[in-house]
Amino acid sequence: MRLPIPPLPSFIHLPFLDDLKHKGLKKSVTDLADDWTTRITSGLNITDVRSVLRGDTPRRPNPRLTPHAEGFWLHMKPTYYHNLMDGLYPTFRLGWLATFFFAWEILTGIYLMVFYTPSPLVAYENMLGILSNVPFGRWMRDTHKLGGELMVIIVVLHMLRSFVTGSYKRPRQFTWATGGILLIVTLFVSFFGYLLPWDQLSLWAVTIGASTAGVTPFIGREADLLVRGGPEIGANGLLRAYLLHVIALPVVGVIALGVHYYKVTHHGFSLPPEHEAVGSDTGRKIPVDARVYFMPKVMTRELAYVSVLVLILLAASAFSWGYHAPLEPHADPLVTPLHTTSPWYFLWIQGLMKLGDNFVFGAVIPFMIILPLIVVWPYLEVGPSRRYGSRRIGLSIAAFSLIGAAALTYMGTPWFAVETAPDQEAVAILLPQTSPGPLRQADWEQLSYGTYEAGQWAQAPTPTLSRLLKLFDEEVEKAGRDPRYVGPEGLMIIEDWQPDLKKITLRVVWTEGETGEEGRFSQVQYLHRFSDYGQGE
Amino acid sequence: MKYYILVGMGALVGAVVLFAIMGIDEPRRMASFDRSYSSRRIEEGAAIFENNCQTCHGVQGEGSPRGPSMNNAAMFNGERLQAFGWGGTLEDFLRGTISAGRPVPSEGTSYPERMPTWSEAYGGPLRIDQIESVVGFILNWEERALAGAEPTPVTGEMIGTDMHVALPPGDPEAGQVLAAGTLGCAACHVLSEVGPSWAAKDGLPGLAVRAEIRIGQDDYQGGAVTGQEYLIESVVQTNAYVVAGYQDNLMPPNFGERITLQNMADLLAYMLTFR
Repeated sequence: MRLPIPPLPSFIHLPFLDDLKHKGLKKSVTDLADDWTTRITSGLNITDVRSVLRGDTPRRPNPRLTPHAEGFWLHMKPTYYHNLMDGLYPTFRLGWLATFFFAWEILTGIYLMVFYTPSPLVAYENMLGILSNVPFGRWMRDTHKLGGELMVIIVVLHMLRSFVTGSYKRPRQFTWATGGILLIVTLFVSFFGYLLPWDQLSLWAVTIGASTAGVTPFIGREADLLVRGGPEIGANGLLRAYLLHVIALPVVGVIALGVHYYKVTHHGFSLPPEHEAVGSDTGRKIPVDARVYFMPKVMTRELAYVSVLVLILLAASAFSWGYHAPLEPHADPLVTPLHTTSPWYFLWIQGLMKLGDNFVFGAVIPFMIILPLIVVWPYLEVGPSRRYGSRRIGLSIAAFSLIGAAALTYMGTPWFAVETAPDQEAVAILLPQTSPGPLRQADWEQLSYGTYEAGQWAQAPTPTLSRLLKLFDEEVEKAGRDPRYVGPEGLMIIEDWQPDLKKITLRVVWTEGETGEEGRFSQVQYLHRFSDYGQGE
Repeated sequence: MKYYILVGMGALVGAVVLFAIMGIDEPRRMASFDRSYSSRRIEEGAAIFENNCQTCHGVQGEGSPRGPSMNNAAMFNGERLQAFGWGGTLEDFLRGTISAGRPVPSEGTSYPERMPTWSEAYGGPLRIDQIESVVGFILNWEERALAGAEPTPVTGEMIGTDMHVALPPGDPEAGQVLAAGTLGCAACHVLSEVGPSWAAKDGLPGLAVRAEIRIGQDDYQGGAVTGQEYLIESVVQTNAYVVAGYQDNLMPPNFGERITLQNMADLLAYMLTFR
């Protein structure tokens, strides 16, 4: 069908109108769509895209290779994989997952940045604002936190996998080294992000972590001041942590990730060790019959993984029952919470520091030996074979390191070699200072007014009270095993204080083992009917 | 591969649906956080009050010789604010007073110390959010403080509007309690600028002496012949004579229905102490 097109002034030239004249409406529009699809995909027209999705054999020459050559995003992806590498084993797609989380953190992080100001005066208020006044604010915060912690886990697993399969060996030493840098970046991005909510949890976790900077030789005081921005973490420290978290470290991460990704593609994936002759590397020379093209098989898999992951992450924090990032009371440099620790992935350093001198165990071993050693490992362990049987020593070192890290992590927790008063511990079992705990989360209605002895938990008027008092009683009994505490007793006093407000006093009284004097420790918690500590909010 | 495409697309659609469901629920979620957090502020405020305020203002905010009561009806029904001549909200009043302290005492009070500044901004120890918490805690008394102010069931004969009625013997201390509490006279009188002061002030003598003078004035239109009758008349027939400079009906007209003979006698005895 020819359309009557009115003549246009000669200085306006629209090729589409010429097409309309010569080809008719339908053909012009499909051609236009085809053209745009080819531009967007850097080489595939609509028919090609459809054939990718249908899994058909591509036409010749294979248009599915063009996006790898001409497009930006896919030029970083190999055009084809070895058929030993396209499944879950041996990579478990951990590198892809780590990349996904990096992008996830950047996207959610930008959303959160909109509502955040790095100042101690307002940072905590901003958190409350994000939770109470920003649509999807809670979810963004939760998923940013969850994604960050998962990213640490996945990066470490990725490193372990590469170690176990010997993928760091020649010629991929540098790929491993950039990966080591990415590991350090991941740990520190996460660490400095910890401080930003400016609650008790963040302040003290970072204070403990930053205290290791102070033991650096010669420049300890300067390093300490540099990280904290002052004798204690305040406005300067928060601003520095923020800039490291949102700019400096991510930039290093993006650069290292670019190099890492490029190197991976450049060298090709190293095959499972048993499929190659010792010393040879065939990652780049994939025989024609063993090739699995990125498009469509690998691409659809990777996209499917990502879609499922997005759904899981979305569901994980969408509702009140999911994961929610903790928010403790406002940061207070004068009040150190009982049982406060560094972030879990640095607990091993805290454990190390309990072994002896802070300088040796807090600075030299983790930051000058272990982390650098991880980065340069492939240049030290140069044996050519990637076979498990030839690497008994290396794999044993890795296994022992893992066990050691687990043991040190345990040692880093407050349950190892930390002297605390049993009376305070007894109270903290109901009123922990680093999490809501059973009393704050208890059913408010069931906390009936009165004075209760922990030992008499069986006679408590409500099941909730009975459960709480029993917990309390067990801890008070533990205190009784300490010779300094003779006949300790636990008391819980619940008073009506205001409309919808109860005052709950937990008290431990005992006789001092040595002096025979009476000892007592009390802690008060006011509980409002609607304070709702249950949702992690 | 079909399986992967199916799962991937399914997950994507699922994610969009889930996101939409979340979006629909967000207003409720945000409101619930608001409530939860303002409740936690009250808890925190209670702890701060216990550590910092109760030595002067009392364990339950009932006040002490060192500081005034927080937990009373006058605080919440506007009388206290009116007495200060404060035009803003109670919340703002509390926030300002706690933050910046009271360098100058309220008239008529004789507390040994001034309210100190509490906000970090004024050199005090508390952060802004802690001040907010204390404000939240004090405001949470409202319900009971107002409930407590409901007039205790009055027994006895009401005075009505008769200024000549015979009164039983009065107790000035009981009268003072009535003036400061249930009847709320102190909000505008006694020392305040809102109504005529009871105490001697600005060269004028105290209320008892002034009453004697008023009945002799040319513009006096009421029916009282003695100072005492004048005082009773001012309470029970509020518009019989209005002192120059004040509008009609400022003084609530219904005291006659609220005051028993005994209460009137006590109040009168208290008024007569101002000479």
